[in-house]
Amino acid sequence: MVTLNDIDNVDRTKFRLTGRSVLSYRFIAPHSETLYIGDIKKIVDRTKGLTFFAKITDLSHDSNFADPKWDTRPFSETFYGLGEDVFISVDAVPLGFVDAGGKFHKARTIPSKFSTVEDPTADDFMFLTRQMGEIEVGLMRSGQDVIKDVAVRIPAKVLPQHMGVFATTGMGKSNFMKTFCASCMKEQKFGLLIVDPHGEYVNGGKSSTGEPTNGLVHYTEGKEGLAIFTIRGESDRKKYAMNRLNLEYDDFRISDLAILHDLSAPQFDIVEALSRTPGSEVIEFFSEVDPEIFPIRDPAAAGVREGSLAWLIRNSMGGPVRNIKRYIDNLTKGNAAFFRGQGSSIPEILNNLHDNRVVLIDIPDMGERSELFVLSVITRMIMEKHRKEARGYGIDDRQEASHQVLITIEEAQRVLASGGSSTQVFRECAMEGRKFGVGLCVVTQQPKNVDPKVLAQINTFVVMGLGDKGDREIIMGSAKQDLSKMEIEIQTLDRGEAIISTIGIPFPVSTRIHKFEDYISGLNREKKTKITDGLASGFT
Amino acid sequence: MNASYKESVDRAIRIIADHVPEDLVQKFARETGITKDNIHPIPTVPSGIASAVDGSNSMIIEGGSVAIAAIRAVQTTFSGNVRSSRSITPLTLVTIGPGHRNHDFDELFPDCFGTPPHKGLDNADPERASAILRDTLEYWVALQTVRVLPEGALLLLDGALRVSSQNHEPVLADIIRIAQERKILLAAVAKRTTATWGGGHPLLPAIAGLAEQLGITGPWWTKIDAHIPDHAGYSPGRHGELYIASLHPHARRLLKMELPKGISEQAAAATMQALAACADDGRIPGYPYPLLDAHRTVVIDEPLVMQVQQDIKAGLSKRGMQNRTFEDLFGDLHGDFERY
Repeated sequence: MVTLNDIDNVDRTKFRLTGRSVLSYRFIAPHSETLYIGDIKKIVDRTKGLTFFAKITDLSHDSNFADPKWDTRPFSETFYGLGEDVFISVDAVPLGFVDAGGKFHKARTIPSKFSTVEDPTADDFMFLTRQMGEIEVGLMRSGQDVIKDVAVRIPAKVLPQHMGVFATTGMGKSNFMKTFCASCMKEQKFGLLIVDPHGEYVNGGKSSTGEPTNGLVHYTEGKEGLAIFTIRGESDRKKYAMNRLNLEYDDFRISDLAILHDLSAPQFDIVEALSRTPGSEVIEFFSEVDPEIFPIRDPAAAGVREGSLAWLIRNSMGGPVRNIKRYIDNLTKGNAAFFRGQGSSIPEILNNLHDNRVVLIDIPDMGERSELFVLSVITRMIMEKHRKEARGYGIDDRQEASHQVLITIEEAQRVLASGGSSTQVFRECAMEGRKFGVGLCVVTQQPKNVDPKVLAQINTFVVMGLGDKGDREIIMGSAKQDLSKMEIEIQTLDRGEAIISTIGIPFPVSTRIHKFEDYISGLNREKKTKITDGLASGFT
Repeated sequence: MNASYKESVDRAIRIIADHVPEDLVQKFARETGITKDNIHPIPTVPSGIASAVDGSNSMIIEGGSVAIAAIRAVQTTFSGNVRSSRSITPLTLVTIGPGHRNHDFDELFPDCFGTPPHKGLDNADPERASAILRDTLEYWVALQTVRVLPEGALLLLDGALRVSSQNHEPVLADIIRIAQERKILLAAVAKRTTATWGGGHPLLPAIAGLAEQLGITGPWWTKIDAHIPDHAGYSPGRHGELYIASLHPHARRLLKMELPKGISEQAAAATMQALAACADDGRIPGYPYPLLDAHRTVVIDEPLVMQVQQDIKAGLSKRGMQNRTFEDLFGDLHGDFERY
């Protein structure tokens, strides 16, 4: 019996996995489908009972036709049944898979041929929500959209293992940092230090696009997690419950000059000779010394006693001494607003950091040298304190006892560039800090100018759009997770979008960073859970 | 004949050139009497319902006494430029040999048309036999299609309105009769033609040159009277009359087609109009797209042939036949040659 069987006109060739390997997927989609780089798709392998997740990394036009020029011959605009043979070829990079028990695994296997490609829902990312940390910064993004209910939270425990925030101007870096601060204020899982020379963190200002912005003080429900040290006037301090910032001369070490100035070798010799001398003695010495007496050929004849500061640098020439004297003079006068003989905020700053607060050092209109000076001094003090603490702990209780502090360095290429021995304190922090619970939050728009050895120490990468190919390559080469297949997405990130790669979350997550103002508005509306909630209010 | 290579190439060129003389167009116009009045423009109209039928056959294995071929046929129907239905016969293996008479044909024909073939099919030429078996399926599909198409629809067949086997004579006659009764436009379109006139001059270049010389642009058609082609006298199995058409302004080739014998000029014009309306696809402009779709659907290509070969090998292996025996029966050295 001869039969004539209908061929199903429903197109089943689209949205099913056709190739290629464990590390790269391919499927096709209708030529008219709207897909975006960064879209996350769910690949349902019903044969094995596994659900794979993949992120679209590239889109291209393709067809089943052998003639590669079928679409460039201008014979006719009409094409019958175009959608059957003409399609979008989609390249995707696997993120991993979830087994029948809901457990997530790295993509060590391949989905069955023709597994269906679907859009995931928030429920599909339950596994991810469980693995997220505490410091919320945004919502998970899939292409152009966000997946509501899947908040991106960076695990607090990995942050002292250094974090990098990489973005060019106007990509939303300040908004990210403020959102990050607000989340840290809310969770209080570690201390966070920020030195702000522009005065924008306290009560906002204007964004790079000219919009008015809020500051950390506007997060009123989180004020317990914030300590501000400022040089502003008393009325402002009272209004926002800010502390006065004071650094005393003994907080200073002459080696701090190396961060602020390009020292010549003779100047560096002087710095080295006096590196263990308390700051107050150094400042007093240079305020009184006459550089013209150097070099001192006969100390006894010059009345210079053995062991004195002048004796320590007796062989120096007058020029370097004169320059160091000028640097110190400038330092004391230029920072007179907070730098004085006695009375230091450092112990209080450290206490607040160890109470897991966000400590904001607010020095508006003080300039880059003041910022670096303050940052250098506090970083050194934190490292000294943590080193000292670590020496006091036993083998077993060391990890548990350590305080966790994250120090933010904006425009980090200034102090963490390759070969800069002058910025020793930050370099030490990057290389050894994690042993003592001290991490760096490296913020830069030029990652290629940051020492690769420093980048290699960073475990959390927040990538927010980098136009420069060299910058992207250095980031992709340094991240702990493979970002190489996401180059197009990094290139096409929009303002306020980021890719977050951290060892705490199983794969790099595309994120729409919360708008700070909206985020704290939501947080302020949240009713804080009081410690007494749920407890009996009387005797029974 | 036993000349050098260059001499043989020169000879071939001379023969071709002799058949395409410089005054080919003038000679054609003079001898056929075709004028501008005989070349009809085709107005542009929206595409209606157009159905195409095509078949495919391919030799799977060939031994000394027996050959096995795969055959199938398809119909595909478009409404506007959207396919509305498509159906296909199962891929069927037919055996050619051993013996002279083809037994599969004896079974297939009554299965398709309800009556036994009045003459059997000879196995002497396996390629021809498999083509006639394919034609059987193709005519059956055409018969099914012409019975259900709505009035005014276009039914396209591949090739010509001419049978290769006398057994199909009444079947093709039925298809044409039903089409005319149901007011269905019918055309058989050839993918290539060797038609000549005047003792070996190619037909298509002559008519193309004439149309160009007459300044005709855009789609057109003309009927070629039976006395013009060289083989006009050969008529057994012929149910159509010859037409040449250019169905699209950017058509790269003219099409030779056959429409049922004796239809009016008005009916021919309506058929050409329906043909041109579905010959506007950008891939092969000037060729009716439903026929291209039918061809792409039905074609038994190399990968499919290899798959069937593997299925047969696997089945024989289960029955205990060793690959060596299979190779002795059906193998040849071409496969080995292709590896080098």
